[in-house]
Amino acid sequence: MQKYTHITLVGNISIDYDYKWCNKLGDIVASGDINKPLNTKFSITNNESELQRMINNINLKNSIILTPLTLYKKYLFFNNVDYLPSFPDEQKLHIDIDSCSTQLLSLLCSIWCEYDKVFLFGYNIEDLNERELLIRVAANNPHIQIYYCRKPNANKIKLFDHLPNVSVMDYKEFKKYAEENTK
Amino acid sequence: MQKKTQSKETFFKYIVTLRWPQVARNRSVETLQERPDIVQEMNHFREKLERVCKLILKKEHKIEDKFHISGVKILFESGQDLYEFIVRQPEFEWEIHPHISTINSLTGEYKTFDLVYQPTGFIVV
Repeated sequence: MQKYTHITLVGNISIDYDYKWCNKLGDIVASGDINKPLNTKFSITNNESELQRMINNINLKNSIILTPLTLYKKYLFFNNVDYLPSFPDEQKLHIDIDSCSTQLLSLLCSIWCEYDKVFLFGYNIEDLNERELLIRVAANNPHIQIYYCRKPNANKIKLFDHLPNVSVMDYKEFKKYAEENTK
Repeated sequence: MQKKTQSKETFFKYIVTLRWPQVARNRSVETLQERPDIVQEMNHFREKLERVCKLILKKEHKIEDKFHISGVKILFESGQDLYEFIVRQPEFEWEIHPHISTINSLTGEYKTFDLVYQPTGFIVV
């Protein structure tokens, strides 16, 4: 168990993946609402209707739901709702935490928590803005190792080649890594 | 054995301060030393508070033993209990300071929010 050093980030793209190994390896942070029983440590949203669904979601019963302060004030009386910390990258990258994507918030939160290794599953990089922000956040935090995890694919991703702290990993490689590190 | 005790520790997330009864408000320590009747009134107030909390609250709570000139500090484990406590203030003729403090379970930050009463209820700002 690599708690406090490894975290799996469940992004905004729904993927067909069994997160069993992620659970064994460390913590899981979910971006927005989820429809499968994941043992998430945090789940993050900045959307009010999504927050309402998450509060009632049995899968998130033991998860801390993190939300921006403005929204937190409205849902303060719910035990598992808390507010996000202020991120150093928020100012540098001009990120508005009330309107940005939940996967970006999850990434910022994982980095804020000082996890050494962040594994991105279902992270949307097709959106150019999201991709750009991921690259800039990674460049700003060279001490955090980020792994972009995807289905096995012969085509290589060269988007992150200039970043020494970002690697691309397929599910098989992740499983192998998890097996080695959970022994 | 120690581990078992630790896992049972309650995390009190919410803190409010309940004002003393009218007669005991804004009294200095010197005055209280000279007026045992007021001290007795305060003790009765605390006892009643403890009894009522046991009756109306579903989860753990803690009433601070330390004396505060502003009132009695109450710590709640559950937000629903705190909500119930605020809503039922008129029933027990209680008045809390219009602030709610919370401890963030991620950051450990202690933050105080203002409670604003409105004709339809209250909001937190």
